[in-house]
Amino acid sequence: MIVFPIYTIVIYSRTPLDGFDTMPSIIEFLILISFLVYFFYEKMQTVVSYPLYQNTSFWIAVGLFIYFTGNFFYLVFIYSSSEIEFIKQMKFIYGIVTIFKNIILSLALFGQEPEKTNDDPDTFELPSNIELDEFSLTNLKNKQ
Amino acid sequence: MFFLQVQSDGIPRLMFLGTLAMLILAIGIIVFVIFHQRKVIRYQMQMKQMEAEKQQILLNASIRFQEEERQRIAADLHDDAGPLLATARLYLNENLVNQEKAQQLQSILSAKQIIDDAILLVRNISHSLMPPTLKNFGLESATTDLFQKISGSGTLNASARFHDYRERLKVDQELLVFRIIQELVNNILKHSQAGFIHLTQNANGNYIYLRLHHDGKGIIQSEFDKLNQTSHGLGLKNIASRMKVLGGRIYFEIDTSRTYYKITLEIPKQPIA
Repeated sequence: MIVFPIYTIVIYSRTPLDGFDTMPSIIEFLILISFLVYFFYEKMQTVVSYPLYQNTSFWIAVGLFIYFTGNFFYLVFIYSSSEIEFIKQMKFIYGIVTIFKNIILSLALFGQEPEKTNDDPDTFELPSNIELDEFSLTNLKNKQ
Repeated sequence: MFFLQVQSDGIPRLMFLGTLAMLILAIGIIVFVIFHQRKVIRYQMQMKQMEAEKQQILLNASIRFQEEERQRIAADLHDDAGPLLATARLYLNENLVNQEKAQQLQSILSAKQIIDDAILLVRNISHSLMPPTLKNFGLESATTDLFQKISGSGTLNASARFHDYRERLKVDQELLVFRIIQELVNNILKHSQAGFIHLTQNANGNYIYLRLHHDGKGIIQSEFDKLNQTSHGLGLKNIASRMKVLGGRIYFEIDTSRTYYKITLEIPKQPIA
Protein backbone atom coordinates (compact mmCIF):
# COMPACT_ATOMS: atom_id res chain seq x y z
CA MET A 1 0.00 0.00 0.00
CA ILE A 2 2.90 2.36 0.68
CA VAL A 3 5.40 0.95 -1.81
CA PHE A 4 3.25 1.53 -4.89
CA PRO A 5 2.59 5.29 -4.37
CA ILE A 6 6.31 5.84 -3.62
CA TYR A 7 7.23 3.90 -6.77
CA THR A 8 4.71 5.93 -8.80
CA ILE A 9 6.06 9.26 -7.51
CA VAL A 10 9.64 8.19 -8.28
CA ILE A 11 8.76 7.03 -11.80
CA TYR A 12 6.74 10.16 -12.67
CA SER A 13 9.42 12.48 -11.29
CA ARG A 14 12.00 10.82 -13.55
CA THR A 15 9.78 10.85 -16.65
CA PRO A 16 10.28 13.83 -19.03
CA LEU A 17 7.41 16.30 -19.17
CA ASP A 18 6.44 15.41 -22.73
CA GLY A 19 6.50 11.66 -22.04
CA PHE A 20 4.36 9.16 -20.11
CA ASP A 21 5.61 5.93 -18.50
CA THR A 22 2.86 3.32 -18.63
CA MET A 23 4.48 0.95 -16.12
CA PRO A 24 2.82 2.48 -12.99
CA SER A 25 -0.54 2.35 -14.79
CA ILE A 26 0.00 -1.30 -15.78
CA ILE A 27 0.80 -2.17 -12.15
CA GLU A 28 -2.21 -0.15 -11.02
CA PHE A 29 -4.44 -2.08 -13.44
CA LEU A 30 -3.05 -5.39 -12.16
CA ILE A 31 -3.62 -4.35 -8.53
CA LEU A 32 -7.19 -3.28 -9.28
CA ILE A 33 -7.90 -6.50 -11.21
CA SER A 34 -6.56 -8.48 -8.26
CA PHE A 35 -8.78 -6.55 -5.85
CA LEU A 36 -11.81 -7.14 -8.04
CA VAL A 37 -11.06 -10.88 -8.27
CA TYR A 38 -10.80 -10.88 -4.47
CA PHE A 39 -14.11 -9.00 -4.27
CA PHE A 40 -15.79 -11.70 -6.41
CA TYR A 41 -14.22 -14.38 -4.25
CA GLU A 42 -15.64 -12.70 -1.12
CA LYS A 43 -19.05 -12.45 -2.77
CA MET A 44 -18.93 -16.19 -3.44
CA GLN A 45 -18.12 -16.86 0.21
CA THR A 46 -20.90 -14.65 1.59
CA VAL A 47 -24.18 -16.46 1.95
CA VAL A 48 -27.11 -14.31 0.92
CA SER A 49 -30.68 -15.29 0.17
CA TYR A 50 -31.05 -13.27 -3.05
CA PRO A 51 -29.25 -13.55 -6.42
CA LEU A 52 -26.00 -11.66 -6.79
CA TYR A 53 -27.23 -9.85 -9.90
CA GLN A 54 -29.64 -7.88 -7.68
CA ASN A 55 -26.66 -6.38 -5.93
CA THR A 56 -25.58 -2.89 -7.01
CA SER A 57 -21.98 -3.26 -5.85
CA PHE A 58 -21.66 -6.48 -7.85
CA TRP A 59 -22.57 -4.71 -11.11
CA ILE A 60 -20.24 -1.80 -10.34
CA ALA A 61 -17.46 -4.37 -9.83
CA VAL A 62 -18.43 -6.13 -13.10
CA GLY A 63 -18.26 -2.81 -15.00
CA LEU A 64 -14.86 -1.95 -13.59
CA PHE A 65 -13.59 -5.51 -14.11
CA ILE A 66 -14.55 -5.43 -17.81
CA TYR A 67 -12.96 -2.02 -18.15
CA PHE A 68 -9.63 -2.93 -16.52
CA THR A 69 -9.27 -6.33 -18.19
CA GLY A 70 -10.43 -5.03 -21.61
CA ASN A 71 -8.06 -2.08 -21.58
CA PHE A 72 -5.09 -3.88 -20.09
CA PHE A 73 -3.47 -4.70 -23.43
CA TYR A 74 -4.38 -1.27 -24.75
CA LEU A 75 -2.26 0.21 -21.97
CA VAL A 76 0.59 -2.28 -22.54
CA PHE A 77 0.88 -1.52 -26.27
CA ILE A 78 -0.08 2.15 -26.24
CA TYR A 79 3.36 3.40 -27.40
CA SER A 80 4.42 0.35 -29.38
CA SER A 81 3.34 1.60 -32.83
CA SER A 82 2.41 4.87 -34.47
CA GLU A 83 0.57 3.37 -37.46
CA ILE A 84 -2.80 4.96 -38.08
CA GLU A 85 -4.52 1.58 -38.50
CA PHE A 86 -3.13 0.40 -35.20
CA ILE A 87 -4.20 3.56 -33.37
CA LYS A 88 -7.67 3.22 -34.90
CA GLN A 89 -7.90 -0.37 -33.72
CA MET A 90 -6.78 0.65 -30.23
CA LYS A 91 -9.30 3.46 -30.08
CA PHE A 92 -11.99 1.07 -31.29
CA ILE A 93 -11.24 -1.48 -28.56
CA TYR A 94 -10.98 1.23 -25.91
CA GLY A 95 -14.26 2.79 -27.07
CA ILE A 96 -16.16 -0.52 -27.09
CA VAL A 97 -14.88 -1.54 -23.64
CA THR A 98 -15.61 1.92 -22.16
CA ILE A 99 -19.16 1.99 -23.61
CA PHE A 100 -19.74 -1.51 -22.26
CA LYS A 101 -18.48 -0.42 -18.82
CA ASN A 102 -20.71 2.68 -18.81
CA ILE A 103 -23.78 0.64 -19.75
CA ILE A 104 -23.10 -1.80 -16.91
CA LEU A 105 -22.52 1.02 -14.40
CA SER A 106 -25.78 2.66 -15.50
CA LEU A 107 -27.63 -0.63 -15.07
CA ALA A 108 -26.10 -1.01 -11.60
CA LEU A 109 -28.06 2.06 -10.50
CA PHE A 110 -31.33 0.22 -11.13
CA GLY A 111 -30.36 -2.73 -8.93
CA GLN A 112 -32.37 -2.99 -5.72
CA GLU A 113 -31.09 -5.13 -2.90
CA PRO A 114 -33.74 -6.95 -0.87
CA GLU A 115 -33.86 -6.03 2.82
CA LYS A 116 -31.54 -8.05 4.95
CA THR A 117 -33.04 -10.36 7.58
CA ASN A 118 -31.18 -11.64 10.58
CA ASP A 119 -32.23 -15.23 11.27
CA ASP A 120 -29.15 -17.19 12.08
CA PRO A 121 -30.12 -20.00 14.42
CA ASP A 122 -26.78 -21.73 14.47
CA THR A 123 -24.95 -19.40 16.77
CA PHE A 124 -25.56 -19.16 20.49
CA GLU A 125 -23.64 -16.68 22.55
CA LEU A 126 -24.48 -15.61 26.04
CA PRO A 127 -24.20 -11.91 26.92
CA SER A 128 -20.76 -11.23 28.36
CA ASN A 129 -22.07 -9.94 31.71
CA ILE A 130 -24.16 -13.01 32.53
CA GLU A 131 -22.89 -15.72 34.85
CA LEU A 132 -24.37 -19.20 34.65
CA ASP A 133 -21.32 -21.29 35.50
CA GLU A 134 -20.75 -20.12 39.06
CA PHE A 135 -21.00 -23.73 40.11
CA SER A 136 -18.08 -26.13 39.91
CA LEU A 137 -17.60 -29.79 40.68
CA THR A 138 -15.51 -28.93 43.73
CA ASN A 139 -18.28 -26.68 45.12
CA LEU A 140 -20.76 -29.45 44.68
CA LYS A 141 -18.54 -32.01 46.39
CA ASN A 142 -18.06 -29.59 49.33
CA LYS A 143 -21.83 -29.29 49.65
CA GLN A 144 -22.16 -33.05 49.87
CA MET B 1 9.59 -5.47 -21.96
CA PHE B 2 8.56 -8.71 -23.64
CA PHE B 3 5.44 -7.26 -25.21
CA LEU B 4 7.32 -4.37 -26.69
CA GLN B 5 9.91 -6.67 -28.24
CA VAL B 6 7.32 -8.22 -30.55
CA GLN B 7 7.68 -7.19 -34.17
CA SER B 8 5.52 -4.19 -35.03
CA ASP B 9 3.37 -6.02 -37.64
CA GLY B 10 2.38 -8.65 -35.02
CA ILE B 11 1.33 -6.12 -32.37
CA PRO B 12 -2.24 -5.36 -33.54
CA ARG B 13 -2.96 -9.11 -33.65
CA LEU B 14 -1.37 -9.70 -30.28
CA MET B 15 -3.25 -6.81 -28.73
CA PHE B 16 -6.53 -7.97 -30.20
CA LEU B 17 -6.02 -11.55 -29.04
CA GLY B 18 -4.78 -10.42 -25.63
CA THR B 19 -7.77 -8.15 -25.10
CA LEU B 20 -10.10 -10.89 -26.28
CA ALA B 21 -8.49 -13.42 -23.92
CA MET B 22 -8.72 -10.99 -20.99
CA LEU B 23 -12.37 -10.24 -21.71
CA ILE B 24 -13.21 -13.96 -22.05
CA LEU B 25 -11.41 -14.60 -18.77
CA ALA B 26 -13.24 -11.72 -17.06
CA ILE B 27 -16.65 -12.81 -18.37
CA GLY B 28 -15.80 -16.41 -17.39
CA ILE B 29 -15.05 -15.33 -13.82
CA ILE B 30 -18.25 -13.28 -13.60
CA VAL B 31 -20.40 -16.11 -15.02
CA PHE B 32 -18.74 -18.59 -12.67
CA VAL B 33 -19.43 -16.33 -9.65
CA ILE B 34 -23.09 -15.90 -10.66
CA PHE B 35 -23.64 -19.63 -11.25
CA HIS B 36 -21.85 -20.60 -8.08
CA GLN B 37 -23.98 -18.18 -6.08
CA ARG B 38 -27.16 -19.54 -7.70
CA LYS B 39 -26.06 -23.02 -6.66
CA VAL B 40 -25.57 -21.79 -3.09
CA ILE B 41 -29.05 -20.22 -3.10
CA ARG B 42 -30.57 -23.48 -4.37
CA TYR B 43 -28.80 -25.32 -1.56
CA GLN B 44 -30.10 -22.77 0.94
CA MET B 45 -33.64 -23.25 -0.35
CA GLN B 46 -33.27 -27.00 0.09
CA MET B 47 -32.12 -26.40 3.65
CA LYS B 48 -35.14 -24.16 4.27
CA GLN B 49 -37.41 -26.87 2.91
CA MET B 50 -35.79 -29.37 5.26
CA GLU B 51 -36.31 -26.93 8.11
CA ALA B 52 -40.00 -26.63 7.19
CA GLU B 53 -40.28 -30.43 7.18
CA LYS B 54 -38.61 -30.51 10.58
CA GLN B 55 -41.15 -27.99 11.87
CA GLN B 56 -43.90 -30.21 10.53
CA ILE B 57 -42.43 -33.19 12.42
CA LEU B 58 -42.31 -31.06 15.58
CA LEU B 59 -45.90 -30.00 15.11
CA ASN B 60 -47.00 -33.61 14.58
CA ALA B 61 -45.05 -34.66 17.65
CA SER B 62 -46.70 -31.91 19.66
CA ILE B 63 -50.18 -32.98 18.51
CA ARG B 64 -49.34 -36.63 19.22
CA PHE B 65 -48.09 -35.70 22.67
CA GLN B 66 -51.32 -33.81 23.38
CA GLU B 67 -53.34 -36.83 22.27
CA GLU B 68 -51.26 -39.14 24.46
CA GLU B 69 -51.74 -36.81 27.42
CA ARG B 70 -55.50 -36.76 26.82
CA GLN B 71 -55.55 -40.53 26.58
CA ARG B 72 -53.60 -40.80 29.82
CA ILE B 73 -56.03 -38.49 31.63
CA ALA B 74 -58.97 -40.37 30.11
CA ALA B 75 -57.43 -43.68 31.23
CA ASP B 76 -56.78 -42.34 34.74
CA LEU B 77 -60.37 -41.13 35.03
CA HIS B 78 -61.88 -44.23 33.46
CA ASP B 79 -59.76 -46.86 35.21
CA ASP B 80 -59.31 -45.23 38.63
CA ALA B 81 -61.96 -42.58 39.29
CA GLY B 82 -64.78 -44.47 37.50
CA PRO B 83 -64.56 -47.72 39.56
CA LEU B 84 -64.08 -45.75 42.81
CA LEU B 85 -67.25 -43.72 42.25
CA ALA B 86 -69.14 -46.81 41.09
CA THR B 87 -68.12 -48.62 44.29
CA ALA B 88 -69.19 -45.64 46.40
CA ARG B 89 -72.53 -45.70 44.61
CA LEU B 90 -72.91 -49.39 45.48
CA TYR B 91 -72.44 -48.62 49.17
CA LEU B 92 -75.01 -45.87 48.93
CA ASN B 93 -77.73 -47.86 47.12
CA GLU B 94 -81.46 -47.71 47.75
CA ASN B 95 -81.34 -50.65 50.18
CA LEU B 96 -79.21 -48.64 52.58
CA VAL B 97 -82.36 -47.31 54.32
CA ASN B 98 -83.61 -50.85 54.96
CA GLN B 99 -80.34 -51.96 56.58
CA GLU B 100 -79.50 -51.98 60.27
CA LYS B 101 -78.09 -48.83 61.75
CA ALA B 102 -74.58 -50.28 62.36
CA GLN B 103 -74.43 -51.60 58.83
CA GLN B 104 -75.70 -48.26 57.51
CA LEU B 105 -72.90 -46.46 59.35
CA GLN B 106 -70.32 -48.94 58.07
CA SER B 107 -71.54 -48.43 54.47
CA ILE B 108 -71.48 -44.65 54.83
CA LEU B 109 -67.95 -44.72 56.26
CA SER B 110 -66.76 -47.00 53.43
CA ALA B 111 -68.40 -44.74 50.83
CA LYS B 112 -66.79 -41.69 52.48
CA GLN B 113 -63.38 -43.37 52.37
CA ILE B 114 -63.84 -44.21 48.67
CA ILE B 115 -64.98 -40.67 47.86
CA ASP B 116 -61.90 -39.32 49.69
CA ASP B 117 -59.73 -41.59 47.54
CA ALA B 118 -61.53 -40.32 44.43
CA ILE B 119 -60.95 -36.70 45.51
CA LEU B 120 -57.24 -37.45 46.04
CA LEU B 121 -57.05 -39.10 42.64
CA VAL B 122 -58.70 -36.15 40.89
CA ARG B 123 -56.37 -33.80 42.77
CA ASN B 124 -53.33 -35.81 41.61
CA ILE B 125 -54.54 -35.70 38.01
CA SER B 126 -55.14 -31.96 38.33
CA HIS B 127 -51.69 -31.42 39.88
CA SER B 128 -50.03 -33.34 37.07
CA LEU B 129 -51.74 -30.95 34.61
CA MET B 130 -50.84 -27.79 36.49
CA PRO B 131 -48.56 -28.01 39.52
CA PRO B 132 -50.10 -25.87 42.30
CA THR B 133 -46.69 -24.59 43.45
CA LEU B 134 -46.05 -23.24 39.97
CA LYS B 135 -49.43 -21.55 39.78
CA ASN B 136 -49.31 -20.02 43.25
CA PHE B 137 -45.63 -19.32 43.86
CA GLY B 138 -44.04 -19.27 40.43
CA LEU B 139 -41.30 -20.94 38.46
CA GLU B 140 -38.57 -20.46 41.06
CA SER B 141 -40.50 -22.25 43.84
CA ALA B 142 -41.79 -24.99 41.55
CA THR B 143 -38.34 -25.71 40.14
CA THR B 144 -36.66 -25.62 43.55
CA ASP B 145 -39.42 -27.92 44.83
CA LEU B 146 -38.85 -30.32 41.93
CA PHE B 147 -35.09 -30.42 42.55
CA GLN B 148 -35.59 -30.89 46.28
CA LYS B 149 -37.88 -33.85 45.62
CA ILE B 150 -35.28 -35.40 43.29
CA SER B 151 -32.48 -34.79 45.78
CA GLY B 152 -34.68 -36.15 48.57
CA SER B 153 -35.05 -39.46 46.76
CA GLY B 154 -31.34 -39.98 47.43
CA THR B 155 -30.54 -41.25 43.94
CA LEU B 156 -28.58 -38.17 42.90
CA ASN B 157 -27.62 -34.69 44.02
CA ALA B 158 -29.91 -32.03 42.58
CA SER B 159 -29.90 -28.31 43.25
CA ALA B 160 -31.34 -25.18 41.69
CA ARG B 161 -30.25 -21.59 42.12
CA PHE B 162 -32.14 -18.56 40.84
CA HIS B 163 -30.02 -15.41 40.76
CA ASP B 164 -32.39 -12.88 39.25
CA TYR B 165 -36.05 -13.82 39.09
CA ARG B 166 -37.64 -10.80 40.71
CA GLU B 167 -40.06 -10.32 37.85
CA ARG B 168 -42.27 -13.36 37.22
CA LEU B 169 -43.08 -14.48 33.69
CA LYS B 170 -46.61 -14.96 32.40
CA VAL B 171 -48.28 -18.04 33.87
CA ASP B 172 -48.49 -19.92 30.55
CA GLN B 173 -44.86 -19.02 29.84
CA GLU B 174 -43.80 -20.28 33.26
CA LEU B 175 -45.67 -23.51 32.65
CA LEU B 176 -43.89 -24.04 29.31
CA VAL B 177 -40.48 -23.36 30.89
CA PHE B 178 -41.30 -25.66 33.79
CA ARG B 179 -42.39 -28.44 31.41
CA ILE B 180 -39.12 -28.06 29.49
CA ILE B 181 -37.12 -28.30 32.73
CA GLN B 182 -39.21 -31.33 33.79
CA GLU B 183 -38.62 -33.03 30.43
CA LEU B 184 -34.88 -32.32 30.53
CA VAL B 185 -34.58 -33.54 34.12
CA ASN B 186 -36.66 -36.59 33.24
CA ASN B 187 -34.34 -37.39 30.33
CA ILE B 188 -31.28 -36.94 32.53
CA LEU B 189 -32.76 -39.26 35.18
CA LYS B 190 -33.78 -41.84 32.58
CA HIS B 191 -30.81 -41.93 30.22
CA SER B 192 -27.74 -40.18 31.59
CA GLN B 193 -26.89 -42.01 34.84
CA ALA B 194 -25.80 -38.67 36.24
CA GLY B 195 -24.47 -38.17 39.77
CA PHE B 196 -25.69 -34.59 40.00
CA ILE B 197 -27.94 -32.05 38.28
CA HIS B 198 -27.55 -28.37 38.91
CA LEU B 199 -29.71 -25.58 37.56
CA THR B 200 -28.66 -21.93 37.44
CA GLN B 201 -30.87 -19.02 36.44
CA ASN B 202 -29.93 -15.49 35.54
CA ALA B 203 -31.42 -12.58 33.62
CA ASN B 204 -30.10 -10.01 31.21
CA GLY B 205 -32.13 -7.30 29.50
CA ASN B 206 -35.23 -8.82 28.01
CA TYR B 207 -34.12 -12.42 28.43
CA ILE B 208 -33.89 -14.95 31.18
CA TYR B 209 -31.27 -17.67 31.01
CA LEU B 210 -31.37 -21.11 32.55
CA ARG B 211 -28.53 -23.59 32.49
CA LEU B 212 -28.64 -27.22 33.53
CA HIS B 213 -25.39 -29.01 34.32
CA HIS B 214 -25.11 -32.75 34.77
CA ASP B 215 -22.23 -35.21 34.84
CA GLY B 216 -23.97 -38.08 33.08
CA LYS B 217 -24.12 -39.16 29.47
CA GLY B 218 -25.51 -36.21 27.55
CA ILE B 219 -25.99 -34.93 24.04
CA ILE B 220 -24.60 -31.98 22.13
CA GLN B 221 -26.46 -29.60 19.80
CA SER B 222 -25.78 -31.55 16.60
CA GLU B 223 -27.20 -34.71 18.18
CA PHE B 224 -30.23 -32.78 19.41
CA ASP B 225 -30.84 -31.41 15.89
CA LYS B 226 -30.39 -34.87 14.42
CA LEU B 227 -32.80 -36.48 16.89
CA ASN B 228 -35.33 -33.76 16.13
CA GLN B 229 -35.34 -34.73 12.47
CA THR B 230 -36.02 -38.41 13.13
CA SER B 231 -39.25 -40.02 14.24
CA HIS B 232 -37.66 -40.91 17.60
CA GLY B 233 -37.28 -38.68 20.64
CA LEU B 234 -40.80 -37.41 21.26
CA GLY B 235 -39.65 -35.68 24.46
CA LEU B 236 -36.94 -33.74 22.66
CA LYS B 237 -39.43 -32.72 19.96
CA ASN B 238 -41.75 -31.43 22.67
CA ILE B 239 -38.88 -29.40 24.10
CA ALA B 240 -38.16 -27.96 20.66
CA SER B 241 -41.80 -27.14 19.96
CA ARG B 242 -42.22 -25.55 23.41
CA MET B 243 -39.10 -23.48 22.82
CA LYS B 244 -40.60 -22.37 19.53
CA VAL B 245 -43.80 -21.27 21.27
CA LEU B 246 -41.70 -19.37 23.82
CA GLY B 247 -39.67 -17.78 21.03
CA GLY B 248 -36.50 -18.80 22.82
CA ARG B 249 -33.45 -20.90 22.09
CA ILE B 250 -31.94 -24.03 23.55
CA TYR B 251 -28.33 -25.13 23.27
CA PHE B 252 -26.81 -28.47 24.24
CA GLU B 253 -23.05 -28.64 24.77
CA ILE B 254 -20.30 -30.39 26.66
CA ASP B 255 -18.05 -28.42 28.95
CA THR B 256 -14.51 -27.70 27.78
CA SER B 257 -13.22 -29.90 30.63
CA ARG B 258 -15.46 -32.65 29.13
CA THR B 259 -16.57 -33.64 32.63
CA TYR B 260 -20.16 -32.44 32.42
CA TYR B 261 -22.83 -31.45 29.95
CA LYS B 262 -24.59 -28.10 29.78
CA ILE B 263 -28.03 -27.24 28.46
CA THR B 264 -28.69 -23.53 28.13
CA LEU B 265 -32.12 -21.97 27.63
CA GLU B 266 -32.61 -18.39 26.48
CA ILE B 267 -36.18 -17.18 26.96
CA PRO B 268 -37.55 -13.75 26.09
CA LYS B 269 -39.34 -12.18 29.05
CA GLN B 270 -43.08 -11.66 28.92
CA PRO B 271 -43.75 -10.31 32.41
CA ILE B 272 -47.21 -10.61 33.93
CA ALA B 273 -49.18 -7.44 33.38
